[in-house]
Amino acid sequence: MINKIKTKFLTAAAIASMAVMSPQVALADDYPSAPIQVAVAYGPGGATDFQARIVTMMAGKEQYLNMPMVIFNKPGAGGQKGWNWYASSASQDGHQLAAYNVPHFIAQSLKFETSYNSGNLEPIANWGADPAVLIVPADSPFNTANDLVDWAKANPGKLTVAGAGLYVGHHIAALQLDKATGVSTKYIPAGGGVKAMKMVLGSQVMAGFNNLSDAFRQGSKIKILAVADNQREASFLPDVPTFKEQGIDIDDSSVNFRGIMAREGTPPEVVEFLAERVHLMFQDAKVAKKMKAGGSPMRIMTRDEVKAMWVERQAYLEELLADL
Amino acid sequence: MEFFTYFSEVLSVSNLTILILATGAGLVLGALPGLSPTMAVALLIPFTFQMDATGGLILLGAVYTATVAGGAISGILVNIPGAPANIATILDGHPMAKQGRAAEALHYCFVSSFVGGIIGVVVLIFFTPPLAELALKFGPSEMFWMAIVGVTVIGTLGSSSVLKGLLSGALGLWVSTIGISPIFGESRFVFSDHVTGGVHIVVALIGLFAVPQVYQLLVTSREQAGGGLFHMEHSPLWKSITYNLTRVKALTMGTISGVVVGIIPGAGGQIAGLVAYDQVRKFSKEPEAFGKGCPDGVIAAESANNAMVGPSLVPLLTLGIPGSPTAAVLLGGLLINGLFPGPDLFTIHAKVTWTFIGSLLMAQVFMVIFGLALSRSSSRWIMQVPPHYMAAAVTILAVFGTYSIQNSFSDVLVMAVLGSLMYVLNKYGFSAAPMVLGIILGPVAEDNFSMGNMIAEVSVGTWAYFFSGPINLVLITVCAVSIGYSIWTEIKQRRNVDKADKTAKPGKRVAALGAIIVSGAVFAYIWLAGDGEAYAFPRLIGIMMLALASVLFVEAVRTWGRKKLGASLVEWTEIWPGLAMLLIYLVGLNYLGFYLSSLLLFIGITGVYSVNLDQKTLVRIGGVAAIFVAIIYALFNQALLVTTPGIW
Repeated sequence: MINKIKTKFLTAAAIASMAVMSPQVALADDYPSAPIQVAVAYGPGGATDFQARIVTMMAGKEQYLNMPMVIFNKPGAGGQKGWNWYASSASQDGHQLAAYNVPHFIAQSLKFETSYNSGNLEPIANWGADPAVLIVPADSPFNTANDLVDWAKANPGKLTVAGAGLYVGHHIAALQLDKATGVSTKYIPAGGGVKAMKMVLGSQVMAGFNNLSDAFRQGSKIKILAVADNQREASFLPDVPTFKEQGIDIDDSSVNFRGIMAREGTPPEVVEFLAERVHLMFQDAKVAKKMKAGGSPMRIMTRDEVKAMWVERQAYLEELLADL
Repeated sequence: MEFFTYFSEVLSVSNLTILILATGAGLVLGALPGLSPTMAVALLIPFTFQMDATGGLILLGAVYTATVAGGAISGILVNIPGAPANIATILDGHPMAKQGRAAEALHYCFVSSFVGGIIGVVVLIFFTPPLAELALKFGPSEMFWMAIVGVTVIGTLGSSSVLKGLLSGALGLWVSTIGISPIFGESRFVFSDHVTGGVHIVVALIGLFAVPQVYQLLVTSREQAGGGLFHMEHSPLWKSITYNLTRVKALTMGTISGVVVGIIPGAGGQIAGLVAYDQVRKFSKEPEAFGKGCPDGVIAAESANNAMVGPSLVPLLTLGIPGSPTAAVLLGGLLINGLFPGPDLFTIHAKVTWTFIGSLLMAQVFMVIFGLALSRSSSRWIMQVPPHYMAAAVTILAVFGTYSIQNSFSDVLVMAVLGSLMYVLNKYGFSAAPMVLGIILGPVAEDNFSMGNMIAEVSVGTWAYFFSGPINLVLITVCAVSIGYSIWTEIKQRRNVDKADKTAKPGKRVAALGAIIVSGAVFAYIWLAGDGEAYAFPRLIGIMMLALASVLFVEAVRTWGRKKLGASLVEWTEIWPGLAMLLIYLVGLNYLGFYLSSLLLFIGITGVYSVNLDQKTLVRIGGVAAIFVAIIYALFNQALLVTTPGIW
């Protein structure tokens, strides 16, 4: 039996090496020649998943990609699982793309041993930006961000703050809060934005950082104390002040940018084709309508704009995370 | 009551058409191993873009209902649960099928699903606000204890002894910690590149149930030399229904367990059936009948997992927090249509919401009608399939089902290796159900323990945090009672066995030796892999495994040497051609492509295991193989848009 198992493992190893070596020929002329898969590093039903399904729904149209885009989920460890797979094993012919979340993947590549970093992935286009907001339960005594900071200063280390995971936008916002005010919050990575929201709703934690779009939908069940962005969110939450307005120096570094990327090594002509068409596809009127209905703020950016944004985030996060 | 005001909307021609089509499709999708309800619902979201809000939601809701019930069909007939929710169903459902009572088991399954499902939706209609409050009270400590309640169920599930059950469960718990820790971000126990992403629960489910069944089918085909899977007795529908409805205790306990588990966000329907099964067995007058084809087992499990559907929508519709993974996908369906969970749903969007809830009720009706209508013909059809044909078909479905979850070939390898090991373990009295339950509950227990501990550290302290609060205390009591009861029955059973038969059972020594060696190795590996907070939970599991294996070993030593070591329990002579072909198949998948190698595998297995391979048989094999692979191609390549590696 042991021999059988051994044979099996050897075969497994052989197959793995074959999978890596098998030639993947991509001819830009007939790209795309099959449905394009888009890997989402979060579970079905989450904000990234559901937005990705909306923004890719028009891909089959002739003026865009002429082939449908198929979402598949590889969730786990705050996105690490899916992106590790993508940067190391996905096909490089443009038929397997992935959704990115910045600052998540950049921060993780700095803190953990990941197979991805901002240098070995090719941005295609950005569809959305979702700022982090500071939330507390409806019956919380805190009414402003400063109320909360004052309490944290009086009770060092005792402020519990839930967020979606480790080194995702929510965590970056919490780290920025610590840095700007000198308090030390106890950050609880809840394994998903929805779970983090539930911990705030159920008062299991004192506060939370969560997506603006998700917090907005909760209505009066929570209080939104501050937006972690450079300006207020005019269309959804015009009355909620930014941290800066409340004298706390937190900029837009934790804003969750979502878009589509390709793996390094994808033929340049394919990347260029995608950059042009996907950018157009995001602007489709039907996409805009569904995104608005779902309460998801859009921010469409070209490949070059995303490239610049990645570089800027990389530099900032290196500095922020260096002290930890 | 608004529900009745809008109920007529459900009965419009277009909505009824969607309901009927979605329920039918859901039953079929649910019956395919590897296509879980979550996947089925996610795959259908794009179709809803073309519909109005009501139609889209009716489609998703009906598919959700039907896939949960459909997963029982393959479970009962072929011993492979269609989804994690159906594990408990097969424990008695498949033994019933083997006794020729397949149609009867399916009748119970659908009638109980209907009863549970209706009550679940009624709970959703009338008790939504108070239940939403209760759902929110489940924080990390309550979720942790909930998972522990699940763990105490492990020992009694299908294994030949509580010890072996617990050991299988502990191994499952450890397997769940492979990969990156979600709370600490650390990579653990990645001994091969194929498990860097951890072991996906549905991959484990397919491997642990489908692969051993393939080997078992091959053995059956050699032993029977032709003929169908099992005979079938005549079982009139009305008789099944009347009997089913008189099993009030099983139905009630199943439904209550389903409702309670459904509203707890995150626990999901995956364990509703198991908790119900365990409760019904413990309160039964003849617990020893369970696992051998007891209708109450099927009734409890199936009423529970459909009763879960309605209540799992309570936290979803009121708070935007899904109670099960499938409900999470439904949330996306709501949001896309501009329907935000919360009070608005029942005021501004009352028409859409109540029509949707009404359609869930109607979906139960269509589900039971279709299900019952199909019970007899589907079991007769499956019954006539020769075992070696079934083995080939299941292998191919398992591979495609596994691959399509995450487009990962590593998952296919993990599935095949896990399943092959499970076949051997099965022979020595270990079983798959507790191991899968361990894999499901591991992350729930670990994540909530870690999160709770982090909160406790800066507030009241660990003990006070986990051992106070009414819900915690209730759950702890349930755990204590459950463990106490298991020990009591084990002692009672032991006494009976001691009186009856003092000789060692075949394979007992091998099982005990194997258990202590494997547990020792896993324990050492866990201890050497690292320390720090990310390793606290795995270390606890390691200690548990070693302790359980030691008790098993000591027990075996007591009867050491009284009987000669028998022949190997694993039927190597019967299975080696199949095993060889499976290995070639796995290599071929990447070289030749999924469809061509599947065609060859089908011909290979059915050819080698045919009794006399004359020209007529060959033609039949070729024809069936071609049709089967064509259906697989249509389903996976054309309908689900799964891209597979290789040429064909």
